[in-house]
Amino acid sequence: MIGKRIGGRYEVIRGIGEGGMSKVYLAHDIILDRDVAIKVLNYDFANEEDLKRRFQREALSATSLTHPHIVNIFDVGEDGELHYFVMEYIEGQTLKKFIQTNGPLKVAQAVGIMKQLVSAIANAHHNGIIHRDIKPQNILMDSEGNVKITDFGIAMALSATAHTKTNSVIGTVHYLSPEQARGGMATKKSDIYSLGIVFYELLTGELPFSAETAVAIALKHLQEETPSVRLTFPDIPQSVENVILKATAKDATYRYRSADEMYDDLFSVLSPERQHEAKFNVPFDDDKTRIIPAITETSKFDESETTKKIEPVVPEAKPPVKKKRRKWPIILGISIGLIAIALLAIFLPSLLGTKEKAIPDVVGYDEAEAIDRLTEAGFVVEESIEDYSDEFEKGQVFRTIPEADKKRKVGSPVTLYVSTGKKTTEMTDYTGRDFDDEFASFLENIFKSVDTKNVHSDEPKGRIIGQNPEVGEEVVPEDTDLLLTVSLGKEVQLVDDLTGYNQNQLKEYGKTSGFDIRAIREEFHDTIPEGHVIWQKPAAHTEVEKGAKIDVAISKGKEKKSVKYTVKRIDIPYEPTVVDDFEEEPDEPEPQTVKIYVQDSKHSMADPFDEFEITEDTRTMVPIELEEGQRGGYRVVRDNTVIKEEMFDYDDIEE
Amino acid sequence: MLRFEVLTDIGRKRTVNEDCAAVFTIKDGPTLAIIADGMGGHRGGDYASSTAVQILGEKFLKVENPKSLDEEDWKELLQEMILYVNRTIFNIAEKDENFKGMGTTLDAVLIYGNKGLVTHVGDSRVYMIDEREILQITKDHSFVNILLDSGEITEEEAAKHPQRNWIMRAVGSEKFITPDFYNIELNGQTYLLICTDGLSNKVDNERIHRIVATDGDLRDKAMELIRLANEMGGEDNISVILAGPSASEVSQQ
Repeated sequence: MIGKRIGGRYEVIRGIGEGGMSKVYLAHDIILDRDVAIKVLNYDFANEEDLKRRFQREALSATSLTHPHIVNIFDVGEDGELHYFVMEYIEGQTLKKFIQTNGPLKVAQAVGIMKQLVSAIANAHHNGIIHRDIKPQNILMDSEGNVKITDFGIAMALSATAHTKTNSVIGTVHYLSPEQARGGMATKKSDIYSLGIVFYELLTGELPFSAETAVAIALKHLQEETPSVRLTFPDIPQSVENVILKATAKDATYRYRSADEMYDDLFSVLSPERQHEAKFNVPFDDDKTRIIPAITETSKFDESETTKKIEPVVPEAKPPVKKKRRKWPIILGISIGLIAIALLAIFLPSLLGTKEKAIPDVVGYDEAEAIDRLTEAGFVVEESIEDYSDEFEKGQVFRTIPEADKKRKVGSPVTLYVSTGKKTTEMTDYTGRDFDDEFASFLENIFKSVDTKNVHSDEPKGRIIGQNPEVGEEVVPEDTDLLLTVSLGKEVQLVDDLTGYNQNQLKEYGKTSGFDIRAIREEFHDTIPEGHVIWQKPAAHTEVEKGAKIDVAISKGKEKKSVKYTVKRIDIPYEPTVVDDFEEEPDEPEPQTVKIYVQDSKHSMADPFDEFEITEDTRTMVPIELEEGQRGGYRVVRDNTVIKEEMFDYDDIEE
Repeated sequence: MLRFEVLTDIGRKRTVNEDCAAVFTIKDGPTLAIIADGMGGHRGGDYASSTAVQILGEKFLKVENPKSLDEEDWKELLQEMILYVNRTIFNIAEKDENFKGMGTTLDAVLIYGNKGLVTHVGDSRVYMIDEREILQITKDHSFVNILLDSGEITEEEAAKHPQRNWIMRAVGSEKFITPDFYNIELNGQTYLLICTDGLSNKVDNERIHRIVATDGDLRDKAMELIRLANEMGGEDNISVILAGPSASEVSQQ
């Protein structure tokens, strides 16, 4: 590829990057005499006309985008089988690389990068283009720290191919929104989700959801809450974390309505007024989707209310204050009330010039005292809402609307938020998950302490099989000691060597050990007698789960092969050595020692088969028994001299 | 006695057949039926699937004392063989640019007596079919199938999912893989169908069942399956191993 000219005008200089399905080269455009980056698709479009057209359409639409934080696409083309597009060349690195080398970024720096990214995506969205695959690998950073997004719409267009793809070539799913994981259409809100994940990574240097396979990661995106960045980095302001939580809400309804809204939020996220922002929470009520718009409405009406006069008279008596648990339908009720008040205010413009007063700061006071103070100051406590507060004890006011020090006309209503104590949550079901270091430290971030009790069970080793507090119990996690029962796996024990056991011994061992012993096979064995164990699986002295199956093979005794017998007749001559010629005639003949060795199915030549003395020519019969395939024979030794030897095969023996 | 029909077809849209299918038999011993659907790289898919089938076949035929092996022994042996195939393909893919990213599905069914041992990696499938029902033995190792199993998506969403072509396990795509194993029992009337997704993506279970379970010649049935997959578009290669009693045996019963 290097040195080639593509499309008649782009000379390839060197490779600068590689993705799952493409390679990027630095090239020189000889017509405009400038360096460009060329992305060449590593993909065979043969017979995939639809895909090719879709890809070209996506790439072409991306050429219409011009924005300081979007990589400019100059040209899309094909040269023979090569499909490529030509882009602005940016000297630098990917944001992924930057994060990998620089680790967690400072909050201000991360927010700065996010502002650039979100403004770019907002621009694309205004042009009707959804990126679908925002990730730091698709973001380039130049030497001055400016970032530019590339690959609009392209990667995902390509993934729609009919060709099966394996783990090694599929793209990352770390930034994929839940709706995309489900296979739904990517929307502008999917881009917002991915931006939220990128923000998380910038702040922590890590990914919020990781697992071994793509599908396991996708499942986490679908099922698990986005982890809190403040758990690991408590210095990150809540307002900053809220951006992530809001952008990555599972249900797209709760995310920013647009990239513009996200941009505005980022713009003020580090302002001092937002220092004590409450944590962003997605409501859990069943009817959540319908109630949600009311939340944003409320804050709007807070604003409009500031210019209007409500009640002309300061009531003497403490009005009965309604107490309500915070439920979204109630908030809706309040907001309707506020709408009514606002409307009243519009149609009854203030004629009386009531004087304005600052709302006293009653945060931290008990509810009754707060009401006294507000009433004294001339305000009306209309509503007292109970809600969780991590900072203030039960019964204490933790927030007022309007806030303290805001100037309001005397007689204006004030809403109190009274703490019900720390937020309790229902204990999650941890059983069935695997308890490892990672999960332990995850839990340690949530609970006051985490302890484990290890027991043997049928569940695999490391699996959580019990917990205290139990599922569904209401707890304040940071004040709770969590005790998990973790499986040690099945109890294991050593298997004895069963070789040579007979049926009774096996039965006995089965009873005492608890193993399920099964004779699965019968085999011949030369030495182990019939009915006794020859081998076992698992092997002796290995650790096996209690109650496991142990296979044994039982001996059928020695294999009875077809055997041929032959009897050899051997004549042994008596030939005493003459020791002394001069000796008188011997009275008795000198005996000679004869040893007969046999090799057959029962004997070997190592030991004599027979041994005797002779004093005359002697004939002896030697039986030889050969199994099929064996070779055998005999040897006769007389006074240490071999006098006869014969070897033959089974086949040589005549029936 | 089971008879085997092995057919593989390039389909209507592809220029290369990346599927590979074969049946190996040890004399008087077990039979191993293998299907592989290769993917990735320039010519890698073709190479991965044929290499997998060849190596596995050779290793199978070289097994010592095949008749003395029991289920557990075979399982161990097959697992070893598949891990070996995996390593071989993975190493080539690592070293050679032309084969980068290649991998293959691999389904092998060992048949001995009236028993079968199925080993499975990827999204090719093994079915058991008799007059009453069609039973999918293997579970696809696909992205969508796992989401489906976890209850996160519906059958309908799965069928339309843009990532339905993603598979989570393939031979040669990772250093280590774990094949699934299933034990099956075959009676005289059961058919065994091993096929690549070129068939299962195109022809639904009901139609497969109708074609396989009716009377007729085994080869005609296998050909009909392929014909139908092509008729439905034939975007992918289609391979089928159909094992069953021969037509005459069925009609005798």
